[in-house]
Amino acid sequence: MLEAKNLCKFYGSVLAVQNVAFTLDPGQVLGYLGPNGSGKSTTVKMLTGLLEPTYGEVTYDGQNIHKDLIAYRKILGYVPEEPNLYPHLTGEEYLDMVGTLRAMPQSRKSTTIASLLELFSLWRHRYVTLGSYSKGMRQKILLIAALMDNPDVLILDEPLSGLDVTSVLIVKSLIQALSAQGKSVFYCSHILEVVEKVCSHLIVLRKGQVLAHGPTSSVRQKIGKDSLEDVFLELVEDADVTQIVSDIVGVVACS
Amino acid sequence: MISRTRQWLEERRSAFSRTPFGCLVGLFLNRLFRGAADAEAGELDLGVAVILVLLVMPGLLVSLLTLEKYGSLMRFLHGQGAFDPFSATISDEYLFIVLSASVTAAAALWRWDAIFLDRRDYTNLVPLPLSLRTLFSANLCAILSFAAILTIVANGASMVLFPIAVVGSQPSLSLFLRFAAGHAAAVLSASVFSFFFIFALAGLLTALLPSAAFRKLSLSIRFVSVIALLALLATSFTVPDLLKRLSVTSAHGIAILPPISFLGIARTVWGNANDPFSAAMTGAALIAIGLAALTAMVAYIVSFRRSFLRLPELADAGPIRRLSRCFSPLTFFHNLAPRSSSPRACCQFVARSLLRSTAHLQTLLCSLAVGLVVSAESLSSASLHFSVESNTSPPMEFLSIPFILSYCLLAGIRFAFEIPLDLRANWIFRLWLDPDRHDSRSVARRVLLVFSFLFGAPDFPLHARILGMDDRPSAHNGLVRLHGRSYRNPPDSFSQNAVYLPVSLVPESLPPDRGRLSFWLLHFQILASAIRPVGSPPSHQRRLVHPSVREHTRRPPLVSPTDARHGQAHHF
Repeated sequence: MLEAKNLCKFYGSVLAVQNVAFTLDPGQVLGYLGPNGSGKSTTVKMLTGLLEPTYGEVTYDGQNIHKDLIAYRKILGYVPEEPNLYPHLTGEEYLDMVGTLRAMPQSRKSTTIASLLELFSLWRHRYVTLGSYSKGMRQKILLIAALMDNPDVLILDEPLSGLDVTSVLIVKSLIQALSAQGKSVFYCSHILEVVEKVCSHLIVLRKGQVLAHGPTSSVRQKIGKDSLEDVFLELVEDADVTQIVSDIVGVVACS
Repeated sequence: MISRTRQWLEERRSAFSRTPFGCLVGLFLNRLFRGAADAEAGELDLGVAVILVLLVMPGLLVSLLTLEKYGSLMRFLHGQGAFDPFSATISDEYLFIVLSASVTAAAALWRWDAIFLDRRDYTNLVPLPLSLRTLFSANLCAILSFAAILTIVANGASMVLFPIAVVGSQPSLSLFLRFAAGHAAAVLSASVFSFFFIFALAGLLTALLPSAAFRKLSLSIRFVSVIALLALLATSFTVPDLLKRLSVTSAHGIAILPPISFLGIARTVWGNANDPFSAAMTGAALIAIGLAALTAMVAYIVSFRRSFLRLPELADAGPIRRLSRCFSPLTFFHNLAPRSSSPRACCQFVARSLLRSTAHLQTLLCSLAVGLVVSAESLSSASLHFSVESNTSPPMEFLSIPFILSYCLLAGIRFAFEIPLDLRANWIFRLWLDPDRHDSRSVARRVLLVFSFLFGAPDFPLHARILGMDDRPSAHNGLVRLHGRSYRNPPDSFSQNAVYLPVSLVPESLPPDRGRLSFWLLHFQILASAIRPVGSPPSHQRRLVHPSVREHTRRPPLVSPTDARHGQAHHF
């Protein structure tokens, strides 16, 4: 069980995240929502051990993850927001490197890579360098790299970015299937309809603070809105969307 | 026996590369050879083999020249009966030391950005189950391996050929071995020193400066360093003579400075260990290596802690901000570009393309640095005592300066044009290739011509007028450019003409010491043409027509032609 206990993070004197606390149980898919600059990426970095919280701690099975970071990362699969891969490596070389660095046995590594490349429709592009891949193809490589060592915890930061419609459907179903297998999934996204369909629980963040936390249906009922989009607008957005849209149309028309 | 050893070595290498540490070392070493920049952004990727060939070339060329100089026939013709190789070769030994240090330092400067771990390494590697200590030591191991490869490759040819040239005809094996050992020790230690010096400089700047400031200053520092290295190389012919002319105290003061002090290592190994002068030089050289290595290590540790480990806390520095329009070198170009919209837009595109990345800027600045140093060397041998009022003829070396600078700039532009562009944005060449657009070819040619004109030292007539000279340089300048217009690729013809026309049109523009200048120009030409095969025109055109050809397939794809076609369609 992954647990965030009162996480606070200061960058100098700027408070990025304040008292974020939640529990991620096995089989649970936790959606993490918030506008730009709300502290989502900072939380993700603290959960993956890339950043140490200023206050609070992240524990896995009751132990602070920083006490044995290597063991924690062994059971962690992480898809970062930006697919900043090595452009000179081919897709297969990159996955082989990740498998080697994860100390996977050679035979298991080879078969897993081959199967996943085939299933993600990248088999015929396996000898092409990552620099020539499209954004969606790179995103698939990141997903394969996160899944290939059968992790217990998956942290996904905008995993559907750049994927085509078929791949989006596959990944959405895949997340639910993995959760059914007992994997814990932390899902950070801007796409509300996907979060609504995929996530069993939800956290809405604004300016580093948690505004709503609980099962998705219960959050919706509590706010009294039908869709997650309305819930999000109610909680997070101060601005009048309709007014902004009409202003933009006016500016465009004048120009 | 040999095949068994090779097989054993291959198995060991393969087993090592399958360990996490070995895999990381391989990754970082590959990155050092290929650079840290994006291949997709159209950066220069020469490949390991070409880089190694380029590193070998300077030492090989100079070694081949010494074969003739120290041949027994030449010695006989010069009347050199008794020949002491240790004293007769001091000036060449110094040249090899400077060459070794310069080549290694230039290679380190070229890969300056790839020495330290960056954001991409952090994003890809730190979330994996690896300790930071493993990353730290694997990168250090890769850097040291890179230094060892550079050192050996840059000096390999001279370590073999120079002793053969000098003492190959002597019957004594011990003499040969002693000479070879002294030469090898001197050039290898000079290479090691120069690599660690650049490593330390990069490390200190990374550790002390904020990331954005370092990125902005990086190119300027490298430009100054290249000028310093070329100046060092240019003075390598005169320093040994200068030392002989100086008093003992002055000579001692200069001789303990690197790279002159590395001569002491060679002299010590050659049997002058008891000579206090050689001992002092050797001691100074060893201290210099130790200090450089120590500083590099400290800088590496500090930069790892201060820069790499703090990466997630630092905001993205993003791309280097362009200069404001009023200070941009492109402003001049924009003002003089053609007035009609299409060629004007093409001109701006070409200018942006040519100066758009660090690799392009490095190429242009490097060629400019070569021009500046060769010009300075040419001027240093000229008599500067003349005045316009007294109608005294200016020294002929002045005439050669615009040609040298022009040649170097044009060669730089020519080479920069060869660096692959991001084809998706390269619409000028799409215009060129569009058969329905009849005016596209002439527009593109005019754009390139204007661009080359503006870049190619328009100060020639001014230069000649101020100095009260005749119009021959201006005439030549015009001829070069008009001649270039008839070619499909103006910079190419420009660079060729800039080599040959100065000799044919203005023969007296060459300085009296033609040999030295010719050596520099020839050297630069060889280097430029050696690198030129990158992106040959036919393949470039194919890639322009079919962007999918751009995919860098590393191994033969095991798919049918039908599948390959599907792959191309998918990529579109």
